[in-house]
Amino acid sequence: MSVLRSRVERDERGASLVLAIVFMVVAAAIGAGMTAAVTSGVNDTTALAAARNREYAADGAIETSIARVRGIANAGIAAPGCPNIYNPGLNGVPIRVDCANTPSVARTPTGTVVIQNNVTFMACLDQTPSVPCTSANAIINAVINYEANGAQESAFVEAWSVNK
Amino acid sequence: MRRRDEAGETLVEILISVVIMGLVTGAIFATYATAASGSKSQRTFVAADAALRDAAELTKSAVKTQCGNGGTSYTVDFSALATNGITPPASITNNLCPGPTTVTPVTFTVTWPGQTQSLTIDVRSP
Repeated sequence: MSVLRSRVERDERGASLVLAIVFMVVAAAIGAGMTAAVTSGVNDTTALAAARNREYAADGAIETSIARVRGIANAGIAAPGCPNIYNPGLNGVPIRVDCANTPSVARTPTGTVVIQNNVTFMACLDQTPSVPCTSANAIINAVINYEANGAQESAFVEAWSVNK
Repeated sequence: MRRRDEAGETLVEILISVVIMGLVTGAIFATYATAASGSKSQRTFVAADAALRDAAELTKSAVKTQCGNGGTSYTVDFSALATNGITPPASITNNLCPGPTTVTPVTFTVTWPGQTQSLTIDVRSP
């Protein structure tokens, strides 16, 4: 009888404490999960706004450079007038735009081969010191075709890609 | 026969456990309420972001179509962007088209209770 009682006492000793600790650990895990979810959400919204501002800053910078090049006589043949630094750019994001003449040839319906006055623009975040945009860090790549009819030529978007 | 040192022990343990469970459960509910509130706030924020992007693209499209063939001004209606308690940007009425070698900045602002988000873009004549 005394052996049995001793076993029961030993087995039950501290059971409530163990249960309370297990409960607290589970509750802490749930709380940590929820806190992590909230923190992740806040970080995501911040990143979303930053990406939007960066994207439209690059878009605006490249549009401005396209318009500037349009004012150059014989755009696509003459020196393109880049890089352009926009610091601060739109939405407070510093942007650098590099451009280069990238002529191509095309054949008209009558078979005549003509040169396309294309200019390729790349927009990227401006750094200190400023470094040229590359395909690796470009936010927007655009190829614009300028109609060669003198100053203030028409500009046609041949390609436009947003990388990040 | 109960031993003297066991008298009342279960009651004390239960009381302590109840207090601990009450505190922890309260903390869980408080955290859950915060998470729910944060989730709602994030949903609204994302909807506002979408409204700003939609406004930007609608404006660029309007400039492209309305300023392309000798047009001198453009108009954009943003009223359809009002969703999830978000007040959309003010619609644009007869804004002058940008010149051929310049761009025009356009700023959009969306608001919802206690919050404001803005976005500025440049538009260019085609």
